[in-house]
Amino acid sequence: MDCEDARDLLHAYADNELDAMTSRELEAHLRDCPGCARAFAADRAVKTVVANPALLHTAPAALRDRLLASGVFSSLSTKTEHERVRIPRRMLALAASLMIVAGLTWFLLSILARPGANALVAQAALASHLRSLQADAHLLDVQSTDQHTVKPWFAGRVDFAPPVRDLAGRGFPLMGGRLDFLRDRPVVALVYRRNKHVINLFIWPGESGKSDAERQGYHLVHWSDGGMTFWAVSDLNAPELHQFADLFRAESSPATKP
Amino acid sequence: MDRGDNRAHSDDVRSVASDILAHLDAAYNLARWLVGGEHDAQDIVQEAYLRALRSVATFRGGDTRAWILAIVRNACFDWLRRDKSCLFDEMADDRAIAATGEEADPSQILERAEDVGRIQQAIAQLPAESRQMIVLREMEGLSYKEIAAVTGVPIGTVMSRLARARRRLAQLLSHEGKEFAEEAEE
Repeated sequence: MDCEDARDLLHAYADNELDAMTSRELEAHLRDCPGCARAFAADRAVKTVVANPALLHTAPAALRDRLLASGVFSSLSTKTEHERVRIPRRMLALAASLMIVAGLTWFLLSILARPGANALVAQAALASHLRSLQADAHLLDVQSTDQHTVKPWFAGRVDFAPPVRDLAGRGFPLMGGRLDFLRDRPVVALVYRRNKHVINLFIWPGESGKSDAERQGYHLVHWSDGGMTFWAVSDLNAPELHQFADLFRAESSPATKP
Repeated sequence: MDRGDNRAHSDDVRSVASDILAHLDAAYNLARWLVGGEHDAQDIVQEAYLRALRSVATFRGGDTRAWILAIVRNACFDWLRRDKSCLFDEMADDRAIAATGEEADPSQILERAEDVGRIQQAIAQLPAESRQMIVLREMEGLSYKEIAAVTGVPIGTVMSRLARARRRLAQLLSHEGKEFAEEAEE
């Protein structure tokens, strides 16, 4: 694939609209071509910025009331219809997403272990992610959108200080965190949300390079930074999970501003 | 008049009415971004919803969201055509993109992520044809196929307009980043 083809396909790739084979060819090109990789990063940045939920306009109550008072709308059987309509769309989507996760769990529990260090960690991270989303499991030990509440909670519970970032303004609100175990070692799990999708970010000391993986429709992005290893797991699409990783890393690096 | 037919028809209409009400936030968001003003957007959406019910016969089942968004979208463009003259100059974007000719800096764009006012300004500067693509894709999460159904253009055109809109936004956001930094240093 040459740069001209790649540039034509970048947007569709960022939107998850490319077929698997073309995606793989494009990914191969992006690994080798810093120019196109930068253009792709710019696309992703624009998508991240524009997806800020604060940009959404919600229909004013006055408009809804005016409609419900006119024509056929006024004949809708009143109470249930109103209530159904007023459930925020994100909540509906979240509920649907959790049900899908629950339904898939039985299938995913049967994943076979494949050798290879990162593959085993990826497997454990995914299993933990799925466990955390089960109806009777606990997702959060500390529930707060405030990084200054979440970070101190881990003091005394783990022997390292995990970086905790507030990415709410960038469309990835923090939900909280919990203490988890991955392959028999205690790790920090930070929980973020992207619209209807839950992201588990596992953190522990030690550097282990970077990688990404896809397993049964879930994406995993792994990186190392400042002496820590990070694994992000979600059913979010790959470009958006990479956006999350980029944002978290960008916030983690020491400020370069004067 | 046959009462049985009538009742079946009014049940259909009620069911469609209830479905499209569930998409009122999406419809209003699209209208707000296309026409700008809160009151104009409310009037257009209300009129479009009532018009939709009068023409339920044209709805052939399937995706109610795409159907109602298409009606709202067309009402907005009718309004824009009546009211303004310069909003359909897509070439303006190409000229602007070509004139600066520089690649946008991803980190500069991300610095704008929390500056809602500036993001709004940047999106508002896009021509309506491009702006609707950004709203439908990034804010409402429609697939290319659904966007094609709403906007009445082929999927290839959806792709090229989205690409053009994002390139232009990348420039607007990173330029503003620079100007903003210079102001802050003074």
